[in-house]
Amino acid sequence: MKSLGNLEETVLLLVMIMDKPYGYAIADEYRKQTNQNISISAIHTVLMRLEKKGLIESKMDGATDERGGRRKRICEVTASGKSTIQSLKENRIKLWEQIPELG
Amino acid sequence: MSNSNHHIDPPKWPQKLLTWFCDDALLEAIEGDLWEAFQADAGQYSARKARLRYFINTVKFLKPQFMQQTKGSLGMVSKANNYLKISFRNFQRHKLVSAINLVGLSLGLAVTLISWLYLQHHLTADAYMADSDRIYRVVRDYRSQTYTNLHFPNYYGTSRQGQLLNINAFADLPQVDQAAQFTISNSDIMGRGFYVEANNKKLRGGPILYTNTPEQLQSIFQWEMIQGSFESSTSEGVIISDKVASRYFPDSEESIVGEELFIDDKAFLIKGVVEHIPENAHFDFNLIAMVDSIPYTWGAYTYVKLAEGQKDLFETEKRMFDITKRHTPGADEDDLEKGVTLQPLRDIHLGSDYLYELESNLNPVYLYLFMAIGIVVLTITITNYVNLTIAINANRLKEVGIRKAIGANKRDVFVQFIFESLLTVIISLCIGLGLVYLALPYFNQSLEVVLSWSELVSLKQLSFVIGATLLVGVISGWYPSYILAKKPFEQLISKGGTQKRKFNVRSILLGFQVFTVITLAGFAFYVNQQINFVTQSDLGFEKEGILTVNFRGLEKYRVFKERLESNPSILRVGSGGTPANTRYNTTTYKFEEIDDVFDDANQVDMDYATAQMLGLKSSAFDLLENGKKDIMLLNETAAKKYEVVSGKSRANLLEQLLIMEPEVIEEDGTVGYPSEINGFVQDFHYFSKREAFNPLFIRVHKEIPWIYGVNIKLQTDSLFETMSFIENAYAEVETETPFIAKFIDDKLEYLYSEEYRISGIVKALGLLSILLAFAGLIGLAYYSAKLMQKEVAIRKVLGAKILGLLGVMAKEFLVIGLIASLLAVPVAVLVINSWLTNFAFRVDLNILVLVAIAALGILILYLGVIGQSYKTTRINPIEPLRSEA
Repeated sequence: MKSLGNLEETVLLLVMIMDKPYGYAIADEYRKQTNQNISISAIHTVLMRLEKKGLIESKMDGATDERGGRRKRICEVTASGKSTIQSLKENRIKLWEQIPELG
Repeated sequence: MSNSNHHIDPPKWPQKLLTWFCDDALLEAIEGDLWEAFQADAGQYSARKARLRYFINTVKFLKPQFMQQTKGSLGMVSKANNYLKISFRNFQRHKLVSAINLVGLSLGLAVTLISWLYLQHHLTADAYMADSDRIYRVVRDYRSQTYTNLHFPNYYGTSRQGQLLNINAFADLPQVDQAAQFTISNSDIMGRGFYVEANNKKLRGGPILYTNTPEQLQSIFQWEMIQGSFESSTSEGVIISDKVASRYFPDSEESIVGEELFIDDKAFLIKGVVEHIPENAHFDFNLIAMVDSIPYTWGAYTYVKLAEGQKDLFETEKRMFDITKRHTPGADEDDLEKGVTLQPLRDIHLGSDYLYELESNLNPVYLYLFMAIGIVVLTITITNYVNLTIAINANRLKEVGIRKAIGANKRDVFVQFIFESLLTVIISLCIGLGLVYLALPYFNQSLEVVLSWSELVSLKQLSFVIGATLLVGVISGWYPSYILAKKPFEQLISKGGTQKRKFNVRSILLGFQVFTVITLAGFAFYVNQQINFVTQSDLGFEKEGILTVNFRGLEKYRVFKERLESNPSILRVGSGGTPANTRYNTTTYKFEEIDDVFDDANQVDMDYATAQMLGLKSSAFDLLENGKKDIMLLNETAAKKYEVVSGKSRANLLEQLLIMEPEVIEEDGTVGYPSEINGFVQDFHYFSKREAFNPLFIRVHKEIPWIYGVNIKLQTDSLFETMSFIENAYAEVETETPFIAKFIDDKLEYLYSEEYRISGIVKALGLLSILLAFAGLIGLAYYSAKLMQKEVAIRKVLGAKILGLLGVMAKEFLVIGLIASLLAVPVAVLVINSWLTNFAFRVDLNILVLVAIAALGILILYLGVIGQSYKTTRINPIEPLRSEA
């Protein structure tokens, strides 16, 4: 299993939630979901890292006018990505279950 | 406000930055995202804020992970390796030109570094103490001259209390923090040599600084004490500089404070050891004698440190003037007292040229000259590099084409070339630093400065030097890289890639070099001419074989003279009036029956023997032969002046009265010091040729009643024996002061020492830059010839003669050379003339000489080009025609 940082985990989840996710859209969604600002460069960095770990794949597609005619790098989660996030979730739940009561 | 159909475009230049920086594979998506974010921002914020946010977002991408090819096997490292490999292959392929580049850059950088050190050395003069900007020298304006020193209230006969009157009153002014005074033994106002004895060693004791205000002096100049201190005690004592201390006490591990030291047999206690004063200070001393009253002089150099924030110099000067007037008897009525001026300490070293300066200060013109030459050499170096690199790289079009074909972009090509030039300058810097290390001792010796190597390699300086060098690399690499990188692909592989235009940047740079070389050569030529002129040409008197010896005292002089005259190699012995003097104070005077008072004349006293050995001609010498004790002569300039103001003829001037210092009125009613004019004498250069002739009043005595120096005319064929004879004779009559003697030629050399030093450097650097430019030219001609190989071969096959071919090949260079010299000659005239105005007596500038220099330059250029081209025309035409290159 690949280790994941906190931000990596969040971005990977966002990639799984969103339809045809790409850098700017992910930054936008992150802002909406967490109420925190994040720079596009940070998102790109994380995406590059996830891709290098083999958790997502990307392809160039979907040029629009708002982008000055440039294509997007659209991401998609890989099987390895899905299983990593799955086992991560299970580990967390296991830990959560061991906490007595939160009061 | 938000309208999705109406887009504003984000600013262009951050995009360019990004394009330059980012990896191509990542670029498109990043740009798109940034663009989208900008559009969203533009709908939400003002255009300005949106642009700002866009810029910030862009800058955040300037991180290593987005840089060109950071991942995988084609990372930065391997790319740099590739650059390096290509660079070395390229160096190897063009050995001649690469060597010229390397040598040229190394020399150029070395010269620039030395110029830089030299400039710094002089610009930081007298700045070794804190608050140097608050320190001033008090100078006195008297008659039309400015004295660097103040006089004591009663001149020579001033008591300790008298000597301190002004200083103490200055220090009491609210504007003044500290005031101190001193006199240095070798200054014009003391002018003595001493024997200094300590630890049983008796040596000539270099300059001694005499002060009766030691503590104030130390609090102004803040010299670094190694042992002891300027303690507050009334007893006299000396402070010795560390340099001299090691001469007297070579093995002393312990403190030498408390040891005894004798100056001319007067005993002092050593109170401390001080670090030797920095070389670029405007005075120098080996010893500080702390004395009750300053001996052997009529005044002292006076320095004050003003209170913090004190800017009102005018008021301070006025109050100081009041003080000096109050203390000097009769000064109140003396209209010649014009005031005192506060001269900033930092201004002294750079060209202060008043009366009795402690050292001859550097004329800032020479500093600028040096700076200009440094810049010229650097420029020649850079243009050489640019020119040669463009020339070589013209052969590399195919390489660039292939690089581009297999996916290199503009930046890759650009970086390759910049990389090569940076590599060259870095190697050159190492060699250049080595050269500086080797050359520095010689440089220091010839310019009489102390530039230190350790200063150059200090971290601060070195990082600046490296930064500047890299900048040179980028500047010189930029243009060649740029023109190759921007060339579109088609042009690179098509045959038209090497076509030439008549006047491109290369031609301009080449022309610029020819221009600088001709200007510099012309200037160096005239500097040399002028120096020869001032020292070698007719001075109006005979200077051969005249030795001047420091000497005091009439009784001793008579004995000395008799001893000398017993030697047949010694032709004459006289006293007073030795020419090649530094300037001294002028006198006021008026002519009989004329009311105007002038103050531009100098008085000279000499004996008849001296007048004879100098070859002065005057009919009035008969009077001396016939028993007159002394006669008064006017030089030609003074006589003419008298003629003009009186309207009388020359003959009618004889036996008229000349009244010197008419402001003095004796009790019996005599005005000034009158004396009868007995005759006239030719103009001769009593001072340096920088000064115009001024009126001289020469009193020739049969025997001078006071002796300040002895002139000896000797036969120079057995010089060594005669010199030791003189020295022995001196030692017999004079035991207190050491033997100091100088030939007039040496005095002249000293008078023009600045010019000598500078002319040496100008010549050396001129030669160097000519060599550099010439080397660059040869490289260029070599390449130009190589490029024309095919053309030459075809012409040859079609029957062209070698001579005709050479003409064709050299034509471009010739045209450039001609245009450049047309521009260079007038500029050279301007530069040379502005330098020559420093001299009242100067060589005539002949434009034909400059034209000849230019012609010679072009000829050499032409021969160089022909020489290189000739090789090309001699090869078998089949060879270039066969090759595909």
